Amino acid sequence: MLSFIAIIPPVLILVSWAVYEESARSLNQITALYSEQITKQVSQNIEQYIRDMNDLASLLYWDPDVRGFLTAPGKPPQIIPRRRIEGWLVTVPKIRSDIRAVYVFGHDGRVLMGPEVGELKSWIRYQDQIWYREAIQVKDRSVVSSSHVQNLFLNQYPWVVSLSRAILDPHSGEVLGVILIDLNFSVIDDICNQITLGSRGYVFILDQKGSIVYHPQQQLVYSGLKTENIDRILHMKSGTFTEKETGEPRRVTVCISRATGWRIVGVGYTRDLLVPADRLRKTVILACLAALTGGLGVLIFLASRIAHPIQRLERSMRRVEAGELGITVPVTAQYEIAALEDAFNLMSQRIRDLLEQTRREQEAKRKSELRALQAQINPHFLYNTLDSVVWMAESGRLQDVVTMVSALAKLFRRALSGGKDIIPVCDEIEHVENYLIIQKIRYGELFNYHLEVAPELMPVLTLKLLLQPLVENSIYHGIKHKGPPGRIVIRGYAKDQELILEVEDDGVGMTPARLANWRQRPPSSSSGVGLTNVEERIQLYFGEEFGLRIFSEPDRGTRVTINLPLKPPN
Amino acid sequence: MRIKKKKWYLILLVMAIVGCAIIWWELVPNQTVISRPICFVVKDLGQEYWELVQKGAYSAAKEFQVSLLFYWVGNDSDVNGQIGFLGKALQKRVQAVVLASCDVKAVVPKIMQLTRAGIPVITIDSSVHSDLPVSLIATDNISAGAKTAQVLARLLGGMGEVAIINHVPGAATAIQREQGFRKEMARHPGVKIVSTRYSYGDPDRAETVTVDTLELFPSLAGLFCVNEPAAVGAAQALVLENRDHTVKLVGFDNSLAEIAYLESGVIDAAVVQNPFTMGYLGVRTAVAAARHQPVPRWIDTGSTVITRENMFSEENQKLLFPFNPK
Repeated sequence: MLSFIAIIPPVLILVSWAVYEESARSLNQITALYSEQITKQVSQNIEQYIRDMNDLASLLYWDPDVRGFLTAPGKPPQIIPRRRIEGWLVTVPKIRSDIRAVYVFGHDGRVLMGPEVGELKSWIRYQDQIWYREAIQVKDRSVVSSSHVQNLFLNQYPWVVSLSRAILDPHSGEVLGVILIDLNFSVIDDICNQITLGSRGYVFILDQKGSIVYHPQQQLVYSGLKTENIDRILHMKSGTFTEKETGEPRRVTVCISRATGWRIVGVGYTRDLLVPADRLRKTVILACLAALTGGLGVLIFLASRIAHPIQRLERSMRRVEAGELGITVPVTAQYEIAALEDAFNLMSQRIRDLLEQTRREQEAKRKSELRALQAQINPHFLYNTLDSVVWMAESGRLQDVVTMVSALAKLFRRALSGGKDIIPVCDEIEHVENYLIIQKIRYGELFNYHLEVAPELMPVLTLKLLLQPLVENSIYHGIKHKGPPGRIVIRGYAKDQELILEVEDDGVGMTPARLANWRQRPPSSSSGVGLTNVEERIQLYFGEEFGLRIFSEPDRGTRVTINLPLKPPN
Repeated sequence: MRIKKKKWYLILLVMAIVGCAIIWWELVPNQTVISRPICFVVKDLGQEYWELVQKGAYSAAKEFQVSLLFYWVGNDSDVNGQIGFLGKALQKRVQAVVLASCDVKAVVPKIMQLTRAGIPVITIDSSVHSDLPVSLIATDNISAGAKTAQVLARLLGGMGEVAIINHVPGAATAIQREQGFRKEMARHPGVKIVSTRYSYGDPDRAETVTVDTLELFPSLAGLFCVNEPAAVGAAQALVLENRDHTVKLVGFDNSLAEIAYLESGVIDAAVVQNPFTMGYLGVRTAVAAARHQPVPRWIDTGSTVITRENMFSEENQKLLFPFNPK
């Protein structure tokens, strides 16, 4: 259980971490791509805007009235203003809120502009200003300035971005003048404000020299309160880098606009851009935690319902093993555990009962043996036999004395030696033969006996001390009452996988009544013990399907049949 | 078995606590957000100079996500009005106070009260006679005065009579600039300071006292105007009296009017400060002070001498003409 718990959290955390890392990486890649796309989009929008302004300049460039004005004879200020163009120069700024003003400056000092624009400062030589000079230098294209203060007019100092274009004489290539369009920042502001690079991100624009064209916090930059990594931006091609100028890491994306030469720079705070990844991490961590907590809860539940009962069971089993028999566990658990507990209880009691039973059986066996032994070591038999020996010795029948004493010795040796209960048939036959020898000598002509045991059965195993009691019975209860000559036959054969031993006599037999209840006869004399004892011992050793059977007819004889299992000698 | 169950519940509890801690750490933003506003008190908002200070202040307020209580007075000498606002700030238990004081002494008791109440005070533009403000963000007025003297001496070729048109006698800037001017001018023995007049932040008054001075000193060669209303008023006077070509005028700060005079030559030079930066840094320092972070005792926002020749350079453009796209 514990190892199970130990494995789950690390595995869970490992898997979650792997999933998070991969997803976060993907998210960040997507965010980076998005930043680049957005910056590119702004760049394209700006380019489009400049192109629009260019188109406007072109209109003026090709307008014959403009050229006419510039090439008209005369010296300023005596130039006749063209109302049509002037009206036009007034209308355009009115229509487009981002165009502050449009002017045409002649090279010799004549100026074309709307009447409401303001008064040109008399001391300014506009030909010296950068927008004019650069336009002349470049000649065939427009020039876009970065942000600057327009100082041509009295009391006006607006910040503008200027687009200027030189007008050349088509034949001589001589410079006639320069068109000037001043743009305020409203459109650029709008374009740049459209984007979102995280909650705090922004876009700014640099020109080729690194001057700021537009910045959402332009005044702060101009005051030196805010810096951007302008050097680095100027020296790189389009791309992205991360920097930590302001203390917080930021991702800076640069897109170079080919049309204007400007650099569009998108700045996003890394922390804001990582918010989706952050959220993912939080979600994963929470999910992990929830899973772990839930898992732990389930484990605790399982532990109390399953693991603990099993441990209880295990402990009880140990106790049984140690010798405490018959203990039971209270059946408290549910489901399969309850079945286990029931089975355990049953088993415990059964073991106890079986052990009891075995003990009793062993005891019974011992008692039986004891009785058999007692029967064997019958004092009367001993006295009588010894008397016979004495009588025979007095009569001089020495040979018979030797035989008798030898047989007696062997008889008692077997009876007293203890040892195995299971002996080969030949030993048992030998034992009963010894008995018969003695009785034959004692009783002489009373009976005769035959042994009819199949020789192949000799090595087969049987229980000891079976035949002698039967023969004893035959002599004392069968033949003795009938008178000589009696006949005792001892048989041994195999039938139906059983060993059959028989003792048959032609004695007086039994009445049906005595036959019926021979088992109930009280153990009075030695012979009374015999039959019941034999059967008892047989059944104790081999089971109740084996035992004694008695067939008897009054005056005809008695046959006692013993059924034993056929046990080969191994 | 009983004991084991308790152990499991303990582990569960620990995990729950750890979980809550993680959630707290992840979700709560790192910076403490300042909820109470910052009080910002300036002088006469009618002057472009203070307008720029205001713009800088709001710019910083937006960046640092604080709200401002912005107060101003009708004229540069209304220190009582300012004291009233400081009282309000104390009542409202603001996070911090930024003050451009009209007078070096009169506001000190209120500053003491604010500091004792745990509200840090930051002074901008004008210093006060107290050590209690945690920071001063201003131009080095003494050195600015000295710069003016250098320029004027050069314009006069080291010889001539000059007059000072000052603004408010008790104002720190007035005192320090004049101090710096006089000290520097002492090194040009050919230049004599013949008169000092006060215009109290009003261009019309400045015009009047300048006309007066011009009449009193017919051979006056130079004028030092200590702030923008003084400069504009004096310039008006010069034009009126037709003396703009004979008298060299060095002024302070840059309003549109002053710039126009500069371009047209009536004003020969101006020492320009950094009001936008002052306002911005005022709020930034106040935020830091409110967060109990260390702040510098003095931030010099600098001054630049502007002439007709250099006024449209790329750097000076940015200084003279605050970027205002609308």
